[in-house]
Parts: sequence; C-alpha cells; structure tokens
Amino acid sequence: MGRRLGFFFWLAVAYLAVLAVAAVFADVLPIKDPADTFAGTSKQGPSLSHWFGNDGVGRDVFSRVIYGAQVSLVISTVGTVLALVIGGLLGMVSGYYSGRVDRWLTATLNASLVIPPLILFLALVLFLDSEAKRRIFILVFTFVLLSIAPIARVVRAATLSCANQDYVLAARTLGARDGRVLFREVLPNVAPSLVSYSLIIMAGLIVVEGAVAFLGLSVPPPTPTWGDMINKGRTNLDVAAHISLMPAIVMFVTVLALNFVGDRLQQYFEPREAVL
Amino acid sequence: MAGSGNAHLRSDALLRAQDLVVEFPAAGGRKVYAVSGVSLDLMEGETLGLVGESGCGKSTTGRAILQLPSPTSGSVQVAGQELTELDPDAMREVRPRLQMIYQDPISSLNPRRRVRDIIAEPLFIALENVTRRTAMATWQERIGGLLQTLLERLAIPMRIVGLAASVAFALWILSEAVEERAAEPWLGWTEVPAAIIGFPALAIALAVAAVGLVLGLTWVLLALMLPFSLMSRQFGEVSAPVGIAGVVVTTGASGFMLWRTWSSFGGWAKWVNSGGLGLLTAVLVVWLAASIANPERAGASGVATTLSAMVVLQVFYVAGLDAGVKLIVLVVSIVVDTLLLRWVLRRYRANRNAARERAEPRVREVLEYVGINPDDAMDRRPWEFSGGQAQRLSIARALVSVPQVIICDEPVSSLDVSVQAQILNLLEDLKNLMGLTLVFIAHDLAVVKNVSDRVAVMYLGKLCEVSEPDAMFDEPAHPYTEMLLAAIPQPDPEAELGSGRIDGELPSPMDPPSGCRFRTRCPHAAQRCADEEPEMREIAPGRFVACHTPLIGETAPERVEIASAGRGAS
Repeated sequence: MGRRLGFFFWLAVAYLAVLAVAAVFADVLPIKDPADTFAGTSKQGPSLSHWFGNDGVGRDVFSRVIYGAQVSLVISTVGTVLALVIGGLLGMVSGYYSGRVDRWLTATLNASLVIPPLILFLALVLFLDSEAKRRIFILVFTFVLLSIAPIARVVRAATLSCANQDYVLAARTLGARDGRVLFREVLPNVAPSLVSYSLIIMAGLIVVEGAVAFLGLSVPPPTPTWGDMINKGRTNLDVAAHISLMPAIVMFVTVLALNFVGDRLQQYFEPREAVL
Repeated sequence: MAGSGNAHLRSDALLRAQDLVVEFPAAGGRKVYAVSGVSLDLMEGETLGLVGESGCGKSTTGRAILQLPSPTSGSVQVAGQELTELDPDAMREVRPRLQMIYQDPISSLNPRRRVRDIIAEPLFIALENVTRRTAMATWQERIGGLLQTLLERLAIPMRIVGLAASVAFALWILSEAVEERAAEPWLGWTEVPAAIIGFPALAIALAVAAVGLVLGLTWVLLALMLPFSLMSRQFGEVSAPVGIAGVVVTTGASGFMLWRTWSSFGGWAKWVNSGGLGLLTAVLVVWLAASIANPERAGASGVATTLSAMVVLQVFYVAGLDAGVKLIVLVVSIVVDTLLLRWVLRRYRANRNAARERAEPRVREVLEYVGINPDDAMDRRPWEFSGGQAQRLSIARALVSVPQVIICDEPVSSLDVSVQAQILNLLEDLKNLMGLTLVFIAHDLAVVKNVSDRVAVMYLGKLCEVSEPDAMFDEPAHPYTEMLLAAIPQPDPEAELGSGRIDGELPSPMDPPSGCRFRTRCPHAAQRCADEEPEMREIAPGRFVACHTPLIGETAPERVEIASAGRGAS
C-alpha cells in the first residue's frame, strides 16, 4: 500500500504535541511567570531573554502564549470531545432509525443551526454568568451546543449511506441488536469522517475563542488567552505589532495544523471500495 | 393470472409462507402494494426458484420471510413455528436458522472488518443473544418479571437521563471544585483542565468516557436496584493471584486518592454535599477492580468508565497540590495510568483473541467448504477479494450458523458468467452436503431452471404459476410465463430481431390493475380478467396456475404469434 500520511502530517502532529506538553507542564517548565511585569521592557520587541517580546505592561509574551494555550486547548478539546460524543450518537441514531426519530432530530438540529453563535453566547453569559470565574464552563457549554449540529449532520449523512448497505441488513439477519449493528457495523465506517471533521471543528473553536475575546467575553484576566492577547495588543499595533502578532501567528499555525491533520486523516481513511 | 390462493401449498413443509402481504407507505398517503397475498412453501432439502421482472416483489417476499421488515399481514412458519408473532428477542434466536445471500457480495461484507471477524460474527451474535437470554432468565428468577419489564422499558430513557445527568454532574463537580479553590492560593483553575490534558490515558479514554459514563450511571442505578449478588457476578473467575493483587492494589490506590480528594474537599460536610461523587466513586472503584480482575465480563465500556473516572479523581487530587509536589505526582500518575491502561487493554485484547480462537476452527472449516484458503483469507478485508470470492465469503457467513433455510437474493446476478457457474455449483454441492433448503430468487430463467426443484413465477406482487421447472419451461401454463420465456435472448444470428419482446410496461404497484394484475399486458385478456381475480388452481398434476384461461388443458386459447416466435430452445 503506497499510502502515507506524509512528512507535513507528522510535522503538524509534532507541533500540536509540543504545544500540548508545553501547556500542561507550563508550571514546571523553565519559562517566565506570565503575570510578572519586567521593569523597563514595555512594548519591547523579541529578544534573547524574551523570545516573543514583551507586552504593553512588560509581561513576557512567550510565556503568556504558552499559558494561553491551556485555555485554548482545554476549551477546544473538551468542547469537541463532548460534541463528538453527543453529536456522533445523535447523528448515528438519526441516520439509522429513519422515520419519525430522524425527522424530529433533524428538525431540532437544523433549528439549532439557525441560532447565531455570538448572540447565543452573549445570552448565556448574561443569564448564567453570575461569576466571571465560571466563564470557561459557559464557553465550553456554548461551544458544545454550537458543534453538536454540524457534527451530527456529517455523521447522519455517513450513517445514511452506510445503513443502506447490505452488510447492515446482513447483521440484522444474523440477529444482531441495534446497538451491536451501530457500534460494530456502522461506527467503524463513520468514525473516520467523524474524527477528521472533529479536528476541523476543534480548529474552528480556537478561532471562535479569539472572536469572543474581542468582545471581552472570554476567560477574564489575569488568565492569558490567545484571543485576549490579540485584542489587548490592538492598541499598540503601530508601535509594537508583535504583541498581537505573536499570539496570532501561534493561533494561525495551530489552526492550520489541526485542519491539515483532519484533512490528511480524511484522505487516509477514504473508503477503499472505490478502488474496485 | 397473477392471483391469490393456496391450492399449491403442501402439508408438512419446512418453510411455509401464507398470504404474505407487504405494503409500503408512499408519498401523498398512497401505498405501494409490493407483495399482495403470496403463498410459498418448501419441503426440506428443496430449492424453490422465484422469478419475475424487476420490481415484481421477489426480493421483498424473500425479506418478508426473514421478517426484515415483517410482512403487513400473512404468516410465515418454519418447522411449525410462527415467525410473525415472535417478539424481537425470540426472533433473534430463530434468525441463525434462516440465512440470506445477497446480490452484491462487496456491499454485503463490511469493508472495515477482517474476514475472520465477518465470518465469526454470526457465532458471536448468537452467543451474545443466548448469554443475554440466560442473564435475563436469572434476573427473572431473582426479582420477578415486573422489575425486568420495567427495566427493559426504561432502558433507553434511563440512558438518556443518565447522559444528561452525568454531563450536568461532571460540570457541577468541576464548578464546585473551582469555587472551593478560588479563595485558596493555588495556581488557578486552569490547572484542572490543564491536568486533564496531562494524562495520556485520558486522551484515549475521554472519547469513550462520555459513553462509558452513561453506561456507568445506568450501572449505578442498576446497582441501587439489584441485590449485591448481581454486582458480584462481575467478580466471577477471580482465581489467579494476579487478579486478587490487582483488586487490592487498585482499591488501595483508589482509596488513597479518594481520601485525598475528600480532604481537599474539606471533610465530611463537603463530602456529603457532593454525595453523588462519593456514590459514583465507590461504585467505580468496585467496578475498576472487577474490570481488572476480569475485563471480559466487565466489558469495554466498564474499563473505559473506570479508567476515566480514576483520571478525574487524579485531576482533583493533583489540582490540590503545591507546584513542587505536583510535578512528581503528575509524572507518576502518567506512568501509572499508561501502565494500567496498557495492562487492561492487553487483557481485553487477550479476551477478544480468545473468543477469536474459539471461533477459528469453525471459521476455517466453513471457508474450506466454500473453496477459500483460510490461511490466505483470514486476515484480509473483503475489498481485497474478487466478486466471486466475496460471494463465497458471503455464503460462508450464511453457513457458519448451520441454517435450515437460505434465501439467495439474486446471488449470481452481479457476477460474470464463468463465476456464476462456480457459485451455482458450490451452492449445489453445499446443498447436498448440508441438506440445505434454498429459496433462489433470480431473474435469469436459465439459472433458475438448473438449480430449482420447483419454480414460482411472480408478477406485480402476485404469484402466476408454480410448477416443476422442466414442465414449465417446455409448456408454460400462464401467459406471463410464456412471455418471460419468449424474452430469453436467442444465441442465433439468424433469429428475427425483436421477436421475443415483452410489450408494455409493468404497471405501477401503487395502482395495480383490477382483477388479474397481468391483464393489461396479456394477449388473452377478457372482460372476466378485469372483474374477477383468478385463484391458484391445479390444472395438471403438480402444475398450479392462477389464470382464467391457462395455456394448457382444454380451455387453452390459440397461441398468439408474438410469444411462440422466440420460444423454443429455452
């Protein structure tokens, strides 16, 4: 089989792994305290002691990017994984049991697609957010709500095409229960598109966090987040572009890596019956 | 022509389908009358050929016999057992006796599974169904039918509630933890999620964890309702000292972490406050111990649930530590989790392999029956085979559960002619070897003539004619049979083109003609055919026809040009 994932796939995976490890072990890695303001370094560009430079009040941008990765990665992974499980189940159920179940589920999911994400988010923050420190749960909750419908639709489409195949009928002829059919016959055929699409959703959530931060509604300071850093650096764009640029570049590369990994996986798992 | 009636049915048949009716709803509140009162029967060891044009309801009849879907009305009996009245569970236990071979061999084999698993699947399914029934029977003895019915009815709602509750519960616990810690000089709440990423076990377990949690919570509910003895069944076969050591070590470790979590929650008050966590933890600790002692019984979801629950506990634990100690605990936890996960996975895999090994001799035997070399084929996937080989695999899968009746739904239609002969010979050999009873659905009359002991001709959801193939092919009794025979292409370059054409289109099954369904295309149609539906009757020994004016016997009308021209060498 001449199929390979390719060098750039592994490069992207390596980058994501390094980022994740750095975020997790940020406390114990020899990097600077993200809250420390270094005297006389305000708006200084990248240097040997401060790799990504310093921000408006002299904090080290590099260590803030690392700590910001905690928020971005947690929000996007937890959000995606929850949405993947819920959306995946809903999609499979909806695609497998046609008829009334499918109609109601599809209608509900389509209705949820109509809600503008930012409005939903603002509403949730207004109604639920008694304390700022709970913001991260609201973020995750909103992101899950937003990602369920797209994932469920993709999974439903994949399930529909596979539920009509004879091997599903064959499993039922053998006396398999619906659960067994879904998990043994349908899931293996749906999983590749599910996983690769989830990675793309994950990348999307990182960007959405940035957008939310622009409204000042992301995880509140002093916790650094990428979106918040880009937003704060905006006022200094003319004199110290790196304050916004560095987190933006890291966010860009991360999103690119996630999308790339998702795309490559999708191609890799392309059903091979097409060859016949 | 194309009528109803049961005159052709025999007594003591192995399979008897009587007055099958299948209707599908169509757009606009209309109905598709796919099968309207078809009756068939098969003696043991007999092959029944079922022929007709595309869309006449052959396949639907075949599937109705298998109850997929169940017929709208009518009865199906196998060895005297009525299938249409069986409840789904009882039907599942009958299914191994009724098998099916499909038209498209490639799409009837799951492209993502290996041959060894595909062929062994009937065995696994049968085992699962029997185990389940036995378990259900034990329950019934213990807690009576009432609770069981209740549980069966509640199974799905309970899982939904379980899902909602576990998600809400997880979020609530997390927010509780955050609130608790916010006042203390710890490193901030990003730690909790950061630690979540930190555990490699979680990366694998988290995806399964949500599902696992649902099942876990269902388990908690069950555990509350059932006597502890049922839980202790999970401990079955803990004989090896390793198992006991595993139980001791994990219980100890979980206990320690539980205690740390508890103290970091602030003692009894908070502990009672988060009583749900306590209950969940207690059950999960028992479960983890059981999973490690005997992964096969605990199941994959159990292993995943307990592992992820352990990780969550660790997260709470780690989050309460100082930065210095945290590194050590983090590293140790990662190592321990990885080892634990590897060990459990290995045990789980070992169990799966054991199941495979138990099935292997049978799988090999069946593969050899169908002429596939097991050594080459076992670990390959279906798309690596040619159409003919894949059809052999499909036959092997049907054979593995030793069926009484196999319904072949156009098994050779998508194969090329040389392979068709191989598959037909194979079916013939297997039939002689295993005493199979076959329903052979096809539209190729030459094929049907060769394999069948009896042939039934269908038209638009009704039977036209049932008889021995030789008599039918020499002298068709039904005008439709005659047309079908006339439509066989003649391998004669001198033959007149278009001589054997069937005129007219098949009428819509949504609006079938009155009386005889074939009358719109029948050259002999009379007023009586529109008014009165013909009944199946015996016009010669062993020849049953549903027609007012059959082509043999004293009432036979004069033969019509078109039909006789193309017939002859059939």
